Amino acid sequence: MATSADPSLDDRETESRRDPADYEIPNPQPRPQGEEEELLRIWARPRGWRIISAVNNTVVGIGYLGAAFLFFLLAGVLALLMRTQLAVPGNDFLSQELYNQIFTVHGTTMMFLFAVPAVEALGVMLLPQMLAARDLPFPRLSAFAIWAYVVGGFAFFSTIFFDLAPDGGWFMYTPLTLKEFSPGDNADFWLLGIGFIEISAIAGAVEIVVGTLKTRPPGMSLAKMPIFAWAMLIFAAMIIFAFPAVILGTMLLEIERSFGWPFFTADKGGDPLLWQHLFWFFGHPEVYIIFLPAAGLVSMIVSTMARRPLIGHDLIVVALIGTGFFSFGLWVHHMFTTGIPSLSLAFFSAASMAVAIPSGIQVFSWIATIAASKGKFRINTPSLFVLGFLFIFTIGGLTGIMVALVPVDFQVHDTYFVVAHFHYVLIGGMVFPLFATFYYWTPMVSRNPLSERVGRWVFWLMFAGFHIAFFPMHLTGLRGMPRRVWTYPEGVGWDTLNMVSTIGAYIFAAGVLVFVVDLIRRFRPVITGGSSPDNPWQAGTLEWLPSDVYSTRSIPLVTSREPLWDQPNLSKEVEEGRHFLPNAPTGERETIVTSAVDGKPQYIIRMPGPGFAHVAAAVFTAAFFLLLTVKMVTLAAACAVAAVVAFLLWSWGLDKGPGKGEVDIGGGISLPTYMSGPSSHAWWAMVVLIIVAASLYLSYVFSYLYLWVVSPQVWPDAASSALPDAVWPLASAGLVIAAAGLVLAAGRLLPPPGRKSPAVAVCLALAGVLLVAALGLNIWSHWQAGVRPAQDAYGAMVYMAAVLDGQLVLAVLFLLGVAAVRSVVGRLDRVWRVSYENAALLSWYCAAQMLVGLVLVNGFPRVAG
Amino acid sequence: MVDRRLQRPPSTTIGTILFLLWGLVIWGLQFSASYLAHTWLCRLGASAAVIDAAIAGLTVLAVALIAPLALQPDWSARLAGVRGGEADAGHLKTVARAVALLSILAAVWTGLGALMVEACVLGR
Repeated sequence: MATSADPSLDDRETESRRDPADYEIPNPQPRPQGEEEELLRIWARPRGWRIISAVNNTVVGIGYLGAAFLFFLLAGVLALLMRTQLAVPGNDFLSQELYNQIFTVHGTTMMFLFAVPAVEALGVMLLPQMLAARDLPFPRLSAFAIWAYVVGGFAFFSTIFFDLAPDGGWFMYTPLTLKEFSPGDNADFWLLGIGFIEISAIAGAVEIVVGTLKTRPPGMSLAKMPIFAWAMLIFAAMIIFAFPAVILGTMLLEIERSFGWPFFTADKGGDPLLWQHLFWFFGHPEVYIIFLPAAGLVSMIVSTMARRPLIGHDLIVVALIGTGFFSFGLWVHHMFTTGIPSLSLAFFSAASMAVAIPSGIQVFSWIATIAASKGKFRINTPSLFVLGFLFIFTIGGLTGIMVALVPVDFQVHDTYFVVAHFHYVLIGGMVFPLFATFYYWTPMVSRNPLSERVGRWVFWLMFAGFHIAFFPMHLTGLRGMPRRVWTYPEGVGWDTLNMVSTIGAYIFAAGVLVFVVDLIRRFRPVITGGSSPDNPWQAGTLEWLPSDVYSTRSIPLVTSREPLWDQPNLSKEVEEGRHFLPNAPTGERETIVTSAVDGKPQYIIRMPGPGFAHVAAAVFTAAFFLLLTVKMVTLAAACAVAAVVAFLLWSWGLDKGPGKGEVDIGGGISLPTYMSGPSSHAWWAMVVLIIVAASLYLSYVFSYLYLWVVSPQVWPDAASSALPDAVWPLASAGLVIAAAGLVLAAGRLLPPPGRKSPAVAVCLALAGVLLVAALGLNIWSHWQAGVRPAQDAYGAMVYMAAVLDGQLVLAVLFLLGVAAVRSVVGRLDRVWRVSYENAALLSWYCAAQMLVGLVLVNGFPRVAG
Repeated sequence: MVDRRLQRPPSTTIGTILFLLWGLVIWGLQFSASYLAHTWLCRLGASAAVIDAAIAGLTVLAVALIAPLALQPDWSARLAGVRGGEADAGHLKTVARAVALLSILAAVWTGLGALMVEACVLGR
């Protein structure tokens, strides 16, 4: 299969195999006139209200971070309301109902609307700069993610003002959140609101995986990648595997609430504990999803402030990977008191203790790096926040080991001890590094740094306030105060401790307020004009290269982990355009794609500029879900149509084709400007999306088998009439396989460049029809056997498989349709083929998933029964 | 213009990722299999001895699968197609080996539960 614009080159030969030391860098000649002006023109940001169409990572990143920080402030205000209510016993400052809504929205906002988006925003903003890429590989995807998040997030938060906020806790346990006990729309707002965050997080994860693996500068092998990039890569991988579980859970809960399919209702064979498994399989990795990027940021800051490379850099990479993996083996530690067998609990208790080892490796590495600086470690606001993080996070880690012990957890579960623990690890482990990041990296994006003098006040107010607020909660919890209570009786030993906690919360808030005032006074983003100070910390990594709206003037050849320390002339050479891609040879927004492991140049990616299609897609998608929540179905349908049109316009502009062929990027290298096949960034993105879909389906398979274990009595046996005759699933499987074959055939029929092939369109269209027919046949076969989705958990799971297949088939129809139309109008051929490849990949995955489903739903009861 | 048809083949991406993550992937599979086996065998009414043997077997298997990488990272790296410069490959081998050692520890720690806690007994 041809992969580059030149069909004579196969996959292996499109990659430069030369050793980076042999590149002819720096380019000896002075650069031609007008080169920089052209870069400025191509990368110019939209002005005025058109800024909403911007896709530059610096603009999107600042907006994203700003929105996340605003949610932090809003959720913080809710926390102050809670602490005010709990300051004295028997208080009626807030009603019980309002208190329930406030703690639910506080937790949901902090975890979903602040923490994950904030670290994702830092990835969007910092990663391209650290990797000297001109932007992330899919700029409109990040922009779509932020708009979906902003619209969905503010719509969700506003429910608190209308008595519509969810009130079942941020984890929304069933059966409390089923229709019987939560009849209003409150829970539905949570479920559908969280949907945006899920879409946004996964879009960001796709971007980050492909960006860190494929758009590093030449010479930056995996081993030379900055530690923050490692952290973000693992963060993104964790999102890919963890978020699907909560996506499935929210789908199941919303479907049960709306249509009565009994996934979580015990007397129909469901199990409320299934929700807990699905939620916490996501929920525990979620806290490490929040922590790992913060740890990566700390590693970068410690190294700079110690003026030396990190000690144990490779071990920190091990620790990041270890934390990522171990975090998936901990989830049941949130369920120790649910009656799960002891040996099962033991596995999770063991893993919960084991995860302390990689965290400890990082902590000792940071301490060793600071110690090895031999007194040169600079104490300033960023490093104060880092030291504060070390202290607070370590205490949180110690109480984490305590609650990892099952008998201890039996005593402290659902008490304020746990509240203290997770605030120590989350505020210590993420908020303090975030503030360190603000002070450290603001000079990269602002004309003025934040005030060092005011920063010290911010730190000490937050540090002192935090301990005064949260340390007493360990004692309050050990004295028996439960979580999520709106008040408490006088004289049980909690009064003084609660008052102290409330005072501490206000001191902490004062620190944040001082920061906000300083931010307003000092922060002037360079995206509005002007330039930022040049590398004020004398750091060694690439984000401190001189940059403008086009990022760096040229993309550097990297030979070490701290290029600015090891190549003293690098900044000057890059700014003079003497490294790679000092111009825009295709006249479009470009960056270099390099190989994932060795960092060798492969091709030039041509990226889109500002536009409105992705904004419209985000707004109408958000509107669709929100209108469904309030049961305005007709308007929701109209928004769905508008969203689909917006997605069509967006996707039509993708896959621009081979263009100019190979171009000279400097250093004696020419690269193609178009790539298809496994080296293509589009291929990688689709593979990541398929892994997400597979994780979602695996969560479904787990749920199916789990409910069978719990309620075998509602499952049919081999002789039951509830099982369709075998001919129907076999026929359905035949249709699926035929569809997959047609997609393969379409690939074989792609015409030479410049020609059209109606046969391709016919194959693709027919494949879509067969997939729909297979799905319809599958559904009908169960329906005619008398199985109904609301009858019991078995029925619900049978039709849930069809729901999951159906949503995938819809996506496949979209992609097949776009590819078919492109083949008819001559925008798809043997070389110009990315849109076909993406449609084909998803189609084959869809076929595989449908086949697995047919085997599971039709075969398993016959075998197990 | 450079002739890019030159000597050293690139490192394979999938192979390198698998090389780095091998130990933890095996640990994850051992962990999942132990949890699922315990659940399933308890449901089938198997004796504690059978369950303990199954978990012990999974633990031994996991350690056996991880150990070659921990003991012979050079050979494992060649098998996985990890190439690149000496320094780069050295760093990747360090990471992979440390991940493998950590994973062996984790696999044994997971399996030890079977020695200390009785199978199929409810937690609370």
